[in-house]
Amino acid sequence: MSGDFERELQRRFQEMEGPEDMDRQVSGTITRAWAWRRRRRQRRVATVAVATMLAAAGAAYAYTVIHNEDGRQVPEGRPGASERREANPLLQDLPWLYQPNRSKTVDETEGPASSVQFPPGTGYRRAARQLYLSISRDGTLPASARVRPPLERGIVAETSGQGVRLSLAAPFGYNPDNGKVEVPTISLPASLEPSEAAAIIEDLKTGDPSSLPAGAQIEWTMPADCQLRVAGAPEEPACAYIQRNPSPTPGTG
Amino acid sequence: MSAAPADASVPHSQTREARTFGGSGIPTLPPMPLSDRDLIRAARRGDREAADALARRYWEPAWKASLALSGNRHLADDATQDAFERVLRNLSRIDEKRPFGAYLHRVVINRTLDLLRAGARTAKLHDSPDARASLERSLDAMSFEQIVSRLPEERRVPVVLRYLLDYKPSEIAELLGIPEGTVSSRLARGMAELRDGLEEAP
Repeated sequence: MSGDFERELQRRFQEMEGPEDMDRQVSGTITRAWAWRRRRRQRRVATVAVATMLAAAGAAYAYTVIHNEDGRQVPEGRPGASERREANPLLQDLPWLYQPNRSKTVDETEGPASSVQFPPGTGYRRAARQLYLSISRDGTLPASARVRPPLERGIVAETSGQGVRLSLAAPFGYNPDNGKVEVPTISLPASLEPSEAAAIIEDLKTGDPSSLPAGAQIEWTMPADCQLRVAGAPEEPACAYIQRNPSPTPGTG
Repeated sequence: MSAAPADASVPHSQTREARTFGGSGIPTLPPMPLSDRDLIRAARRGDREAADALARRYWEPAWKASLALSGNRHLADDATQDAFERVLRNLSRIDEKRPFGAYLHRVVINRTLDLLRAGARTAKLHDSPDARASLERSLDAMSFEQIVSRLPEERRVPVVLRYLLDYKPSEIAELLGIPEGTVSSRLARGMAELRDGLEEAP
């Protein structure tokens, strides 16, 4: 009986009507994807040209850095940042980096969950900015940071005598009620043409932060206390989202 | 080697002449379709026709999966196009050693569920008395895919993967990152609910 129904189900799925205008959808999708690839190649060429000029001028770094005194503004990226980022499993599908239209919750982040330890003397805000800038502009983790196991569930930053340790899944925190990973606010320079700004925003939404120009700023709201662990201070109760959503266990459903 | 004389009663395509290459006697075979790996590599190099062939190979079943998950053709259109565009943009990240179809299907499923959760163009029926009454009245007009889309997500996804996309329970377990026992349990419950739903509809 069960076998009969399974076959019936397969038959019904087979008989479902397909898309009405598949040719147009396929063609349009490839056109958009190829246009994106073309734009990204053009930006890489421009970045390489800048780096080459700086190297020829005897510059110590291949960055074009503008207003870097407070570290809040974004330098030009190094060539190959995207490739380095894509080759590192730890840096793929980071929801806070790729600025998705709908952010994932802390439990929905894909890929290995880890934390990043910064050396003593690096505060939380400075560490989070270094993390964002290094991954987006250089395609790597900051040179001073070390990969560590995941933090306790629901905790995004922990400070101790060894320095600050950040969650790679949600270094800027998450909404304490619904668990959605927070993303930093990016301010683009006013000097950009509207079409340039629109293209950069579109890239951010679809997974490519490497087109951020020099002069872009990153800011965010400090995570709620329930997401922070401070050595020597009493532990705060877990955030509402964590309390309402205990860790999933095998065999449920 | 010379070709045999042509026989007017035999279709040319089946003659020895047609089956040899330049009269050398070496038989030719119809061209084998390129593998997913070959198409991916060509597309990475910028070959748009390869990308087109790869997309067409998987488009309809992926679209149907999105329709079965959402019950909404417009949402299925959006989700499928978004998912394929994302995959084509990120060809360099694809692990060639793993099945391309499984990776693509996961992206399509995730995108469909993302759009559903965002409330894009799909009315969600909540388990309230008014909603149930409305649901019972609307069974007459409900299509098969709409009945499937009523299943809870945790059962709907395995059912679509198993009976539309033909994944084995072990493959579904790996795709979704859950134990195989959980997959079997959810499939069984999903099937039971579907059987009820289909028996109620005319």
